[in-house]
Amino acid sequence: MSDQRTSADSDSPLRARGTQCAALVIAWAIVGVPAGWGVAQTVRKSVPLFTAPAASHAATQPGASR
Amino acid sequence: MGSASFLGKEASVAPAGYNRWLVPPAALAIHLSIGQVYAYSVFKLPLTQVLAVKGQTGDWTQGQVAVMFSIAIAVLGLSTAIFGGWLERAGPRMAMFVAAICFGSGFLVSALGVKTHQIWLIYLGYGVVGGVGLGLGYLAPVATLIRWFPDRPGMATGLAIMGFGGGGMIGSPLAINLMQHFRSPHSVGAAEAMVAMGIIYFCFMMFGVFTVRIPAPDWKPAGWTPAAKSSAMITTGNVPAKAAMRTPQFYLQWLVLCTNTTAGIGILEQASPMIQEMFRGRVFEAAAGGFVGILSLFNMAGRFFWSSTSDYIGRKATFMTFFLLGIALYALVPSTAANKWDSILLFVAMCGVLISMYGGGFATLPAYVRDLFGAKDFGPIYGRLLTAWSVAGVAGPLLVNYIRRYRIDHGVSPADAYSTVLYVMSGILAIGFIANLLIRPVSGKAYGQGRMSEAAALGAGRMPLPVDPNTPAR
Repeated sequence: MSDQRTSADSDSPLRARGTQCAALVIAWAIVGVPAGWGVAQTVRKSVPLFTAPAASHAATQPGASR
Repeated sequence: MGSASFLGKEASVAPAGYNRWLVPPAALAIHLSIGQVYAYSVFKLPLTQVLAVKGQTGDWTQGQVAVMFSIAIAVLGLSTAIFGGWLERAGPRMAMFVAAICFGSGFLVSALGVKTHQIWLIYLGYGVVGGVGLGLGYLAPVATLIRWFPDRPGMATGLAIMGFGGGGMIGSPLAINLMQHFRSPHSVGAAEAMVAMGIIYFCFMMFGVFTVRIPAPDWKPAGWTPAAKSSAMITTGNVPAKAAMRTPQFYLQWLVLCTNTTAGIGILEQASPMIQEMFRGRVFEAAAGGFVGILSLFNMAGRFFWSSTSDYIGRKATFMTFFLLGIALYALVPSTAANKWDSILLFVAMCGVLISMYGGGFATLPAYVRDLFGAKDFGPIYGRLLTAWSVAGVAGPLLVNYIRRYRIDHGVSPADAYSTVLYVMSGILAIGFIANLLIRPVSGKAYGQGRMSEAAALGAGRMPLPVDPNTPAR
């Protein structure tokens, strides 16, 4: 009986730590997922800056190395 | 009664063993939502076509629609100044709840304005009601985080304010997708999108309301003790809000924020047309949109990077970096144009660094305020300082447009007119540099009866623990 109580007592801090760890992961995921989606959308939108100018510049200056 | 007590300050005190890293997600939920204000412009064009799609005339102009943003930013600054003291008394949970109600219902009132084609309802909804939500939502998480992370205040507040910078990145594609979804032959989909966004943002902000906690009055981070002797620019006392308003430091910090923000807006306001004019024939609309996106990323990253850096090099040195580097870069950016160095990459990199410092200024200021005035009356002091943002938000774009128009009217080419704007921004930063240079520790007299130990101030309580009021701040 006394052994059982000791085991339960030692389990509860571990359980609390596990619960808090799970809460941390969930909380950060709730804000991280939409933030990541927003960043990904912005990066996708930024691509033309590094592709379109080069293409149009090359078109206006044939043979230019830049 | 039950819900009122749940929202109360006492109910939100964290239990022993609470992990403080749960608070930044709560703060981010609020800031990522209210940061939508940076993406208001996605509504500009659709709102000028509300009647046209029905075959009617009398649509609003883009200028009329743009006023909603100016009102929102002006009310943001005013509400932080007005409600800063209330926030300290009511606690962050209540303030964040009111922010969620205001920000969410602001969208609903605006949607009604679109449906009935009454622009004043949009001004009232998005501008005034939403603006109060912006102010409370901006201030409450910052004031909470600064108490949870006395060991790293710059990093903590930077994390939340980074969310405000990133909110536009979510708000813009969200609004575009929703408007596309709701678009019909008789509707641009703006009203329906606003209703959906009001509900979505309210729910998302409520996650922050349920998650946020304040530290117990005697709480401090494990293994951390307030330094007995730290930097001269970091006080261990607390200046009452009324006394802070009578110090030159308050007005110098106001000037620091105002100049740094005005200069940043100089680029943000004109980013898309500026790159197209300076690299005429090489950068078109899609690529210019990409440039705006890059600036958003720098704006967001700068908020975290610079505020975290300030924990190591100090707030004053961080702002010195902003001003000195800013003066140099604003003066050099015109040289990257097609008629000089002809380097798009250099132009983008310089503008990116400038915008990172614009965001960094917002994120570093809360810790600067805490360093100078202490944590006890942080809310009202910081709230009043944010009026500088309102001034810069209105005056900055006006100044930029006026200078540019004036130069063009006097025969200067559009690309060279931007150069003038950038040189003026460099001069504005010089004023900020001088203001920051003049900031000294607050004199002992300002503390009066409000001076108390740092340990007492870090907690949620406002328990005065008076120490010698004649002891000068360190």
